[in-house]
Amino acid sequence: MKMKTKQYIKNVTKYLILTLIAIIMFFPIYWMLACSLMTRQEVVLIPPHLYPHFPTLKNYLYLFSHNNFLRYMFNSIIVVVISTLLSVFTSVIAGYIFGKFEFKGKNAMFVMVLATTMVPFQTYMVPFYLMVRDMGLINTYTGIILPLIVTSFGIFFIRQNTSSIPDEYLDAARIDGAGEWYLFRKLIVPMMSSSISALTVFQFMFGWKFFIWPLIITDSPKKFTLEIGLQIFASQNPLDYQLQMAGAVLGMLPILIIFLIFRKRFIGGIALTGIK
Amino acid sequence: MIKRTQNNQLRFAYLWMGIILALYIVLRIIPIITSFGMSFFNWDLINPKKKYVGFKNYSKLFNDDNFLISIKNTLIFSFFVVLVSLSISLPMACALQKDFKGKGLFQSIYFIPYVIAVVPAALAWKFIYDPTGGILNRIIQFFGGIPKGWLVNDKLALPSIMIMTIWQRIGYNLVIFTVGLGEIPKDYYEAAKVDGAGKLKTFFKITMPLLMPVTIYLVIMNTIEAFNIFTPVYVMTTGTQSAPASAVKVLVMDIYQNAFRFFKMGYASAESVCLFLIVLIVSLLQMLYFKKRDK
Repeated sequence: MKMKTKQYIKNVTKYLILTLIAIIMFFPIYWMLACSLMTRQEVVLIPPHLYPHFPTLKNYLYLFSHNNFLRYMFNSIIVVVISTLLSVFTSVIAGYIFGKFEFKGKNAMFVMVLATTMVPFQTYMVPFYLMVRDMGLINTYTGIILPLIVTSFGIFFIRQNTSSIPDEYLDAARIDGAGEWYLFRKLIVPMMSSSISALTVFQFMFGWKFFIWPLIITDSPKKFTLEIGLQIFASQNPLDYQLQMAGAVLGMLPILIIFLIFRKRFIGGIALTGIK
Repeated sequence: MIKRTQNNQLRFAYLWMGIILALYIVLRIIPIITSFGMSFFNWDLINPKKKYVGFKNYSKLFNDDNFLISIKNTLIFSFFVVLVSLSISLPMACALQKDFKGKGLFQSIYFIPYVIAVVPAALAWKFIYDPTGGILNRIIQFFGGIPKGWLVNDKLALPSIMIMTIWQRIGYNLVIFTVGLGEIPKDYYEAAKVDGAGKLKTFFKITMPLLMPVTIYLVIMNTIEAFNIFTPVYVMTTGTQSAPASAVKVLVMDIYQNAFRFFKMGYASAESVCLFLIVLIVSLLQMLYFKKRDK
């Protein structure tokens, strides 16, 4: 009986601590949501209102009628979806070839890919900008997407995961007369679906958070991504916190919704990319 | 027949490898090499002539207060962010090891700050920290305390941005630690229990050493990420009521400003090379240190 009470107290404490941390972790997001529904006066009251006493959607209506937020959102979705698809495709095919084929120069190529895994984009963004400028791709979707379409991490990650596919499988299919492209589509892609979906999650989040490059490469509101548009909107309306917070909610919402739908896949995917 | 399939295989491999490698060389290798090359030139983006200056950009860097401050800030920032975020997430991961009701919910809530984009998160924090309208100061004032200029104050600005970054990193570290903990065989713990080892002893003698590879991975990933910090600093130093630029100037911010505000392309490239070297040295050192300690 005494053991049981002790266990009970321990459980309650654990829940209390975890809940407290959860409240602290979630507060900034809650606060963003709450303030986005308040008026300009309510947002700075002392003592503060911890929830909107007179909730209003005026801030959101203002954003949609006075700003290009829909356009920014559209741009972000185009950029992130296309760059994710391309980077996953190049990683899967290159990782598969590195993992399952033998040819001259393979090791040298792989070392080259591996050597740049740890090199952050920020260290070569200046020459990258000059290159994209010379190509005439400033303020274009292609220009924004360009740094994202190959990823050494992705190639490495897929290569490590091809080892679980037995070579006999591939040989058997080849003897049956399957072409290489058919083999790739019908055998490799389905067999690697969990690694592929993990990489997709990873690239999607990376693309969504990639701020510095669109900041450098775009100066026309027509091509602003949501993050850039939001940052510029906030700097132009520094004292309208309620509008800033409504904008922040719009900036957060797309990825938050996708996360809530694919919650398990997100967390599982990040876990998988961490193990290597 | 076999000959034909082998030819097919080679054709497939060479074709796709060729395409991807070409992309890779254009989008990675050439820019990285150019970055080194450009650091020996002075160029303002407009003048068609690039002037060769040798190592002058580098020697200038070490007399440039902006650069030295940004290095110092980046080091302080990285050290505390990595240390604190890992020390918070490890016990949290331990608490989330066993299955219990609501575990998934807790995990998701802790993970959300990592998922959402950085600009919305930084704006939310900037508003929390705001000297007059921010909730933090309004609560302090309500209880009769003295409000502080969280972002405006020279001494508080960098720690304030650190707190936001730690808040974002916890979710990621937590997930990776959880995987690492899950991979430790249960037998070890049972053996320790039989031997009468306490909880703390089990943690330091079994969990920590077996978790070392995961910890190394996380330290390296977090350090590299921290050295490249840019977005929160950029958001929080723009506009009124924001952080003083010099107090929170970090390396990437300085590179960005030199390149795209002042158009000193060669100078910014020299800074980029320094960032590259720092990241390289830190990763190598950490790997060596942990390897040695492992033995």
